[in-house]
Amino acid sequence: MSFPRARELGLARCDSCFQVARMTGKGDNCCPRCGSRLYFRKPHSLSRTWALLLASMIFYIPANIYPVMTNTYLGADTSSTILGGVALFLDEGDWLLALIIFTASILVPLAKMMSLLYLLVNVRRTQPPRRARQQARLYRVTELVGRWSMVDVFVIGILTALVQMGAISTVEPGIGALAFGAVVVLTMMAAISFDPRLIWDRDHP
Amino acid sequence: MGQMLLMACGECDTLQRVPLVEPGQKILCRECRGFLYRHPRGGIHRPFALMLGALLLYLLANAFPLVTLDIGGASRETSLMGTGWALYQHDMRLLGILVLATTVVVPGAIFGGTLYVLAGLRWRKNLPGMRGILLLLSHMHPWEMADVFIISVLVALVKMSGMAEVMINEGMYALLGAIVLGIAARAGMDIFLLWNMLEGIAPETSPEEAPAHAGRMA
Repeated sequence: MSFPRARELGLARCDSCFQVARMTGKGDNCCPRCGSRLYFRKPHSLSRTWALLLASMIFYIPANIYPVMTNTYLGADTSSTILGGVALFLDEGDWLLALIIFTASILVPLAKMMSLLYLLVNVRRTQPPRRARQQARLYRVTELVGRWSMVDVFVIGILTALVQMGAISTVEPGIGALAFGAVVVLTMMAAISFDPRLIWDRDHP
Repeated sequence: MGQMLLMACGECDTLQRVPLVEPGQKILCRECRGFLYRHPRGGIHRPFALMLGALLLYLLANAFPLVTLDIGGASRETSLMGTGWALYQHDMRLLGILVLATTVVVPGAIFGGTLYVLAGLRWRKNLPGMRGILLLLSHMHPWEMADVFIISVLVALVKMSGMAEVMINEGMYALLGAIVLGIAARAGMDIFLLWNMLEGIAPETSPEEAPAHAGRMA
């Protein structure tokens, strides 16, 4: 660990254009190249991430309890939840689609919330450098995969747009879909608020 | 040793001097292996051409229906915009706006905005608003979900195939093409180098105001 870190030298990296610039210490500093606000670490990173993560966990409950859509086929209503949608594909033998929906709608959001929780809990604890490297990689993956959870929301939108056949068959979106959309947006915002540099800060007091 | 660049890793904050690498090579952080920058092949012309194609295909994707559903003679089609709009109309305004934003507005803004910035850089013209647009583009990418949308269309088609006849229309092929060209264009540019180029043609601060450590060092 012989390389200096930017903050130790009073330098900050611009979040937008990656310019390295000196922080003067008084008031707000702006990037000399693109004009964005400069900071050593994302402001209030941990409390923001905590708040957004907790909010997403709260929305996760209605997202799974309430139906995400209702299909009316020849007068008969069938409401399905996210888990119910996966079960339906499995019943019909579409295991590949069941796997896609299970991964995008259940596995990814859960894994994302768990890994953010793990990062938040461990970010201040001293740990071997190897662990830091693993956590940095975990964050990278978490940030990358979040948007794929939107698959289910889009599917519901497409079905709502297409299946409007009057008396034969209609599809209406359910309140669960809105809650699930909130989960996706909130976890994405939580991942963006988290500053991965904090993972390495504990080794450099 | 050629030109050196001063960079700090965005993941671990390690400060380092890195060489200006050959086209096709990238530089990772020496401490945490995080990504620092990449020098794409083909200069500015390649992403410009690819992005122009992506934007044109994207406009076509919006002009034609994506898929058609046919149940016992009654048929119905939807467009890219139709998906978010349907949610909006069926009492899901917020969700509809989210879908419209991530599948229509943000992808359109990214295709158009990137092309605008690339055009300015290609012809070395300081176009109005270039700086602000590039700034916006630097933060918009997570919210661009046209690729996720394509997968969703396929899932929805399989879901409906049991009860109805489904057809893929021109719009879907155009959208697929726009996404592929967009990904190829993005692979041909690097945000850090774009800013370096922009600085070369449109310096914001005059040289005497600029700080002593302006990213590049001899």
